[in-house]
Amino acid sequence: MKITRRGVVAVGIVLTAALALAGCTGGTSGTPTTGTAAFNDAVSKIVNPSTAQGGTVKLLAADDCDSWDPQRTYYGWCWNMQRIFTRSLIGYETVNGTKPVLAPDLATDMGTHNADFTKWTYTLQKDLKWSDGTAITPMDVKYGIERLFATDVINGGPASYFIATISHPADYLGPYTSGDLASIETTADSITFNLSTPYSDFNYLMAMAAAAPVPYKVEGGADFTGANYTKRPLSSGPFKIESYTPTQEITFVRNEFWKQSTDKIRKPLADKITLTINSDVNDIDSKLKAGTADAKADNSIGTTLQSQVLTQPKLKKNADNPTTAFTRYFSVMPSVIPNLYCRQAIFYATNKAELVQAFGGTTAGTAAGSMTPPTIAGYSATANMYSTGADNTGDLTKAKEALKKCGQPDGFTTKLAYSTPSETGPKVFAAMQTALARVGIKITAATSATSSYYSSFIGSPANIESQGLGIAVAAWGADFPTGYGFWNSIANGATIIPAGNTDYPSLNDPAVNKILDAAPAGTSKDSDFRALDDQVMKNAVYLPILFGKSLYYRNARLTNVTSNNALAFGIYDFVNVGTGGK
Amino acid sequence: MSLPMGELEVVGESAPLTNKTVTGSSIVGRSLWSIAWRRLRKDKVAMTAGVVIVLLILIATLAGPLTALYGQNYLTHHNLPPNALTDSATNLPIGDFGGISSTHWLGVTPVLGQDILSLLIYGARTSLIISGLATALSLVLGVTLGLIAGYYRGWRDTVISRIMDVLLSFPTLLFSLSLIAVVGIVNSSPGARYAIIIFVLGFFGWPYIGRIVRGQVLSLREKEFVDAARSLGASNGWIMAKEIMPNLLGPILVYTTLTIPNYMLGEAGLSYLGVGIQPPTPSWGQMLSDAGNYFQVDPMYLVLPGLAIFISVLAFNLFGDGLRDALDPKSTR
Amino acid sequence: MVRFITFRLLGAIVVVWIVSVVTFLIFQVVPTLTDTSPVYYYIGKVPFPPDSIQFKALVHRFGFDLPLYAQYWHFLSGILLGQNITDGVSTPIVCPAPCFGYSFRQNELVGTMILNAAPVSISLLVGAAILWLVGGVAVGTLSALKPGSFVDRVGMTSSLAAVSLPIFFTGPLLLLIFEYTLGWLPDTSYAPITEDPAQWLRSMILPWVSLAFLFAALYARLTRSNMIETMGEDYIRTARAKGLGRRTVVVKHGLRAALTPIVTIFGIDVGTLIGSTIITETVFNLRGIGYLSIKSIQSLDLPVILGVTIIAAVALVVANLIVDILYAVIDPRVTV
Repeated sequence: MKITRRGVVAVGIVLTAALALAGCTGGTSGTPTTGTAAFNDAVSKIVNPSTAQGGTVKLLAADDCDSWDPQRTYYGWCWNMQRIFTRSLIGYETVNGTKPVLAPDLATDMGTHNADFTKWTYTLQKDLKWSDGTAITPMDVKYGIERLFATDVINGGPASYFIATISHPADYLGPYTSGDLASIETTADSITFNLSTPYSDFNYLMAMAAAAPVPYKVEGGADFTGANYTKRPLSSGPFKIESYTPTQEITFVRNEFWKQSTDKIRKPLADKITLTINSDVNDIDSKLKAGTADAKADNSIGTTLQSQVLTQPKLKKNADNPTTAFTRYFSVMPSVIPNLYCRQAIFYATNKAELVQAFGGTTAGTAAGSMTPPTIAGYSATANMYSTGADNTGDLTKAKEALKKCGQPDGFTTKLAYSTPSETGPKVFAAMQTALARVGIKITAATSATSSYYSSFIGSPANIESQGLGIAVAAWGADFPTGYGFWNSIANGATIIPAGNTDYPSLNDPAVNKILDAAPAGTSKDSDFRALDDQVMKNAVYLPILFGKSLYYRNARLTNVTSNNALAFGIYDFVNVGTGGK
Repeated sequence: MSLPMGELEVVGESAPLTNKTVTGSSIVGRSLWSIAWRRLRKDKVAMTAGVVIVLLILIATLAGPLTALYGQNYLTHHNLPPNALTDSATNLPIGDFGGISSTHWLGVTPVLGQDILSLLIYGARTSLIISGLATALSLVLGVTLGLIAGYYRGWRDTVISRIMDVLLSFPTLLFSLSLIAVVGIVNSSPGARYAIIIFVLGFFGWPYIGRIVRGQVLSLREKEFVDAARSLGASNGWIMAKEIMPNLLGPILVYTTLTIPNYMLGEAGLSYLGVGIQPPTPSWGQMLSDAGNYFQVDPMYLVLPGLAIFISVLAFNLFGDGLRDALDPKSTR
Repeated sequence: MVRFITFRLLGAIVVVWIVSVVTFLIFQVVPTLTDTSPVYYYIGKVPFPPDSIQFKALVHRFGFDLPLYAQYWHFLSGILLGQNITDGVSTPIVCPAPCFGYSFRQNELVGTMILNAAPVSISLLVGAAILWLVGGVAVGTLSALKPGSFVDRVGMTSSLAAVSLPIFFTGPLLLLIFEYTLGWLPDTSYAPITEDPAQWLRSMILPWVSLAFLFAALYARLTRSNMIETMGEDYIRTARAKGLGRRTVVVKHGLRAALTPIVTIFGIDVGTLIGSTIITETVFNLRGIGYLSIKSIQSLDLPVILGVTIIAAVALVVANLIVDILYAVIDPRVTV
């Protein structure tokens, strides 16, 4: 039985039903071209292109998703998993490489907006259905977004973008307590958002899983609404959840109500996708190496497999090391080290070459000279305001000059904060301690459990000051790949809050704020974000270390594999992956 | 006998200890000690263990000069060209057996390329300081409260014994981990971490010594020499300090040598779980914890700190064992 | 006897209560010293300022706006009477007594999480306990037969060596040898005994051995000293004088008497280890109660920490209670 893509569309329901009955995965003559792939092939190409349908993709992860509720998840890899079974108005058509491209998903086009980007209207495609057969309506889309305002129940997701953007009464707390949100208008086939502020990047918000529809008022049924929707979220995408045991396993099978004709960005091949949670990283490594699992869905492969992959060519050809959309950096706190030159001394004395090692070696990233990562507008490969020398080990002459200007020629003492337990944190600390000691700057460690580190440890400006945390280890990846998306939460003085803050050094520079405040109007050019980066760097509060890379491993049998850099730090775009029918 | 830290710690056999040493305690102090010393000297195993302990203490005390003599320091990282001893991509030591060479006798660590021998030397210091101070805390609390409970009896005994009962029924390890986590929120400095680790090890361990001391004192206070001192008008404090304490020294000494290794394992275990001493202060447990990420590709990094812990703990256990036998006239050896 | 048992039972309840209060206070009070709302521990990152309505709604949902005693009562009454977990939207989740609350991080009843983890811990504990009891008593008995002999010295020195080996060293070493080098145990991931007994056994062998190794050493030493003492007792001499065979004397008389204290210690050890085989479960990635507790402590998942700690305390106290009662039954000299 030859299965072409068009054939699937035509016989979708019949086919899946037949397969379910027969309990087989379907034979195929679409021979996959396995065996020719090379290292890094999935970074910007599609490995083993194939149209062969059927088979089960077996994924592993060390931990369960933070949530399967589209409105409540915030892990990149979980957004990638959401792409398997949820759709939103807009989606990503191109996910690999460094320039992700948006495309209409549930919507018919990229939406229309008024001149100042405060009113956005989208029309839904016809014939869209939930996995229970009911129609997906504009009301469902509206309801999903309203849920984000119910922060007491629907927490954990990127709700603050929507709350800061969409007009709402000051006391609006979502559909459960405050009912309907008038600023989102719906007709039978369209939806209009009235914003409280111009927002030219609004399509990127609409491409988040958080903007996915949820069945209006019904959600997943009486037992699976609100906080419990995560246990049985309904599917609008090509796969639906067949079974889910929290912290153990989730299984996706094809959603017979999804139609290929309505979906331009997904071309699913597999019949089934399983994600097994396995807390033993060594065990995951073994299974990947043995080929009994297809890929690790959540993160880089384990330390052991990494070193084996890098030294054994037969393993290496199945691995990818994409540059991903995040920057590792130190936040250097002006509230603790008020003198600009003292902070600059830290910048110059830093040994980035060793820090790259401490973060995992050359496969973990490349030394960064500025904050903007390669996927974001304003990136420059050469920008390096505080050059640390040709070998990136530090410019001690300049560091000492800066210390003199600061009035502390013999150095000073401060603390370096990192979260525990962490494999890299202690090594980063040791590297930094050795590097700064060269110019007389002494550091001691200040640690906090990961769960409170970002919320109340370095996320609290008051705590930074009271504990004297001069330097803090941090990483930042934009929630959506635009200059504004990258910078606003970490550099706009208006976003500083007393806890759960993301502008760790409390940067509040009028020149920076001005560029960011103008950005939503849609007139900002790449050069504006380049200038923004320079202006931020002048403050010497963000010390970029490296542009992150991750090392992933794909089973040789997988077809149509490519890296998803739009949502998930370069992990494979699993919705489109096939197994060659096996 | 129950294990205060679950798998972390193993308390020596305190029960047989109580039974046995009581008999010896009525013998006049000096002769007991000289008999014990003679017996101990004949015990080759215990004496060897004693030498190892002395060496260990010397190494810990002289860590600075020793590493200077050896010419390597754990604060120096050998992971960057031109002197890189680790591979820039895999981060593993270059060369066989974890990069063992004439300059780095036990090789270097993955990632940072730190000299392992100097890490082990400084790790001995961490291990001994923490286990020593925690043991001291247990001793001070246990001896004082055990003495009070056993000597005065009455309500003091009731209160102290109940407290000991409650502490012995605590899920100690779980509770310690929670406590360390929470203290970390309030004070994140390395000093605070040191203090809380010593506290959880020492505090949850004192009821063990407290019970032993209380039992000893209960019988000692009925002895003739105590009655004699009392009839001569000696104060309670004097009797406790001059009459009873000397008779407690034997069991306390044995208990101390058996507690230190337990707390060494305890410290290592906490470090292994990621809540122990934080780098850059070297600690054997922390090295083992890190080595857990590399044991398939760099087994030496696992084996070396593991052996360091094993040898030190074994030395203390063997010595304590020999000491107990030596102090116990009924000993069968 | 009734009075004795009642008294001990009351004591046990008081201990568990103290554990619950102290743990509760540590986590509810200490964070407030740094002006940190416990909300962060319930759900992680909250990107809203503490004075926003979004944040306040969260504080209200978890009851952190109630006075401390009310929060404690809510927690305690949940255990005693059960409670309904509700988000005000979905059908409330019925959580019958003893209800240890709900993990808002993992969207699961704490009781369910503990029940799911329990078979792993019990598998580990039962297997290891059998190994260490049998092994330890055997070695101890052999040693005691000829105190001071070569067998005795080897037995006792090697048992001291075993006590000195931490599981986080022996564990990875065993894995390295048997799983990754020799390949005798290619896949050691846990499977329930009901689903795949062979895989269950494969996953358990190394953890059993490492844990049992440690305890067997202790039991060997205890058995030895008890045996030596018992063998010196008059009735044993009488038995031997009567011309009974050596084996009969050792097994029927000596060992039986020597084992009584061992059994009591065994009870307490097993009680202690329920919920605190943290290191073994971490080393071997067994998702039992110990693993659950260290993970919840690392993520400061408060309801889970409270639940696990109380379960561990109950196990320990119950073990103590049983041992005490048994002792009282066996030995009439024990009084209150």
